[in-house]
Amino acid sequence: MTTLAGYRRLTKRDFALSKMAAFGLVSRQKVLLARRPVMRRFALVGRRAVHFDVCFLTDAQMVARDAVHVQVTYRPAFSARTLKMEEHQLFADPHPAQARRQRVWLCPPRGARFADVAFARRTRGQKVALDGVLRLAAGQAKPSLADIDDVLVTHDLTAMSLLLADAEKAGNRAAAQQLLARMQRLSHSHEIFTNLASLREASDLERFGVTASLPGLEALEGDEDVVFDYAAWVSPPASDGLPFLKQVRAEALALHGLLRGTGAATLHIAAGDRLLARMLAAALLRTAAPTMKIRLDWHGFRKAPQQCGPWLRYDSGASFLATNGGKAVESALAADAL
Amino acid sequence: MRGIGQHGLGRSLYEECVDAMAALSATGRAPSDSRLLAFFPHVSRNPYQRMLYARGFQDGFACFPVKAIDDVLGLPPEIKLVLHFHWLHKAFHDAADTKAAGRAATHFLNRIRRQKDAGHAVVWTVHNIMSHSAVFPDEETKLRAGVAELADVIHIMNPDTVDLCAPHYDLPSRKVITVPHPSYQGVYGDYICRAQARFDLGLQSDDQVFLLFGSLGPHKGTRQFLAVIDRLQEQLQGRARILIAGTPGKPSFMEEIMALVAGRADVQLFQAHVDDQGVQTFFRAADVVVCPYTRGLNSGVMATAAGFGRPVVVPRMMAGAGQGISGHIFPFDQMDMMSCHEACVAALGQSGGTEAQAQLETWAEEHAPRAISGRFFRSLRAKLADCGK
Repeated sequence: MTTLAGYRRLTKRDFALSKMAAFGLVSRQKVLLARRPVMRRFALVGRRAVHFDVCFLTDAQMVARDAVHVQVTYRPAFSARTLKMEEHQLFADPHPAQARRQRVWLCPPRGARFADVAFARRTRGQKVALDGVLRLAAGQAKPSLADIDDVLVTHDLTAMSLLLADAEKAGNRAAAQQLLARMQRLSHSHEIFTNLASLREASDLERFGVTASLPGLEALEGDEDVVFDYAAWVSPPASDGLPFLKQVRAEALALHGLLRGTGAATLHIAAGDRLLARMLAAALLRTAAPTMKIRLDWHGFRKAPQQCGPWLRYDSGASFLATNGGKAVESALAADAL
Repeated sequence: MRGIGQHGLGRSLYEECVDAMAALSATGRAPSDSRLLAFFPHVSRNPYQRMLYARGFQDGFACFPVKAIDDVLGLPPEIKLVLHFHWLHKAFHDAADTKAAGRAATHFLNRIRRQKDAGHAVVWTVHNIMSHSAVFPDEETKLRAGVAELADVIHIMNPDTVDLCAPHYDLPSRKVITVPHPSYQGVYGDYICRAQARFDLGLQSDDQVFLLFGSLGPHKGTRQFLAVIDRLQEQLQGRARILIAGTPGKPSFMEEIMALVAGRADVQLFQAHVDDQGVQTFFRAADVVVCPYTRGLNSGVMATAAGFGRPVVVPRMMAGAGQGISGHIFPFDQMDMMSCHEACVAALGQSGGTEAQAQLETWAEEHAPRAISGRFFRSLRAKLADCGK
């Protein structure tokens, strides 16, 4: 723990400079951050990713996660409209000797000429200090998945976010797990937890199938001859931000409501968008409604590529059905299938 | 001046003794039948002492804490106390090394000896074989052996305590009274339902929830439990959810826990003191309460779990403390964390049964603080009479 004795409080002059986006323009800053942000504008050159490094310290006993709020606003010209806004929650180290530089990456969108970067303390009841020179470093390439080992030993949350996006694109679960684990140590962000939950649930699904259940659901008492054509995802699009299994659960509950409303006891899972996800929702619903009849074009499913969220992606449905979980899902849906 | 922190009063120890005698007299107790019980150390966050002494006045005991045991030596000679010692690790509070710890143990024992010579009775409650945070085990063993020798009465909660302590120090059987740990009935809030508790914690109704509750420290086995959690998930097809809740320990230890929890979406860590109304949220949400401790004799968590009708997994040495609910206690071998996970799965099989719940609620009723407090004072009075105190 440090008393942060060598760090000065922000003054009126700092806030006046901040109004002109000129905070920390000339020298190294060793200041105690306030909850009111101070801002600095950087001129950008093209779309090249650039960065600056800063240290944050706290007088708390442990690492203070999410102690600093950094907001980056990209603009096409001086005082022009916002092109894009990014937010980062950074942490603060308790010991000056162990304080590591944290890197904030600026990845300008097309047309951006300036980036306004604002720093503020997020926590109450503890001091948080900024130590660093607010100067952009150019010429370094944006990190890629090949740099993962180097990035994992840093405190560089923004680089980890960039790599996580690459891992998602590549469907690289192992890399994503490593990155998210490290990010969770450095931040309490709910988004990280959601991402971790989705990753774990996807992996569990492949190993065990749909093991969740829907206790307490009213029985379906519809007519077997009345068929509900399940051709599209029925939950609101907002559910996309939920962890994977919660999305499926919400969809299954919504589906149950529709089946009861239409008096249908047969579900036809039609080909189309999000077929795998709809199939999983149907499998979950079946745990609560075992008498529900299912119709599905298994042949078409096997042949077509299938995807459900970032972590369940298959060249063909057959690949999914070849996993232990896939077999369990197939067996749950195929029982009494029409 | 004492007592300011606890009651907002400023009283000397002597004044507190005078007030205590007056208060006992007002309950109709004859002075010859009245006892003043001073306990040390006082812990405020753990309600154990308040529970144990709940029936003091009805049984002729006025109970109050002493801040430092030397305070007692300043009392007039006509005041005779029952000095009740609890956790002994405070004796080593200022000891920097084993030499200093050895001196502290000797000094502590000498002070108790002087108090006995002054005519005070000495009672010791054996909460643990060794303190949870024992830094000087040899010196603490010596201290414990010394206190056991000097004490007039030794209170144990787990009937196996004498045998379990025997490899380290002797507890003379003639001094022992056995009064179990009270349940927390009426102490912690208990009015929310399982569905509300799970919703509050972001858990689904079909999640299989294991709770590790209480202050976080190296002796609690949390690290060992987390290190092999994948095996439990394998057995439960990934449906286990682990809740860890309690006051954080030392920063270095918490960093270790954070490292183990990082990357696990199936573990939720609540590192903060849980107040008396918040306890129910965790216990009502849980299917099974787990005490993966590496050592221990008794556990308030075990009694709390029983009060909320939840089966509990404990180290084998602690199982004896659950007399009357042994069917709901699932012991494991503390040297083998895999056996803890097997006990967790077995306990899960029993969780939620209405018959089991009813049995645990009956136990909690029979072990309510006032009932146990009454047993404690009756046993204490009888034992003190046996030894002429």
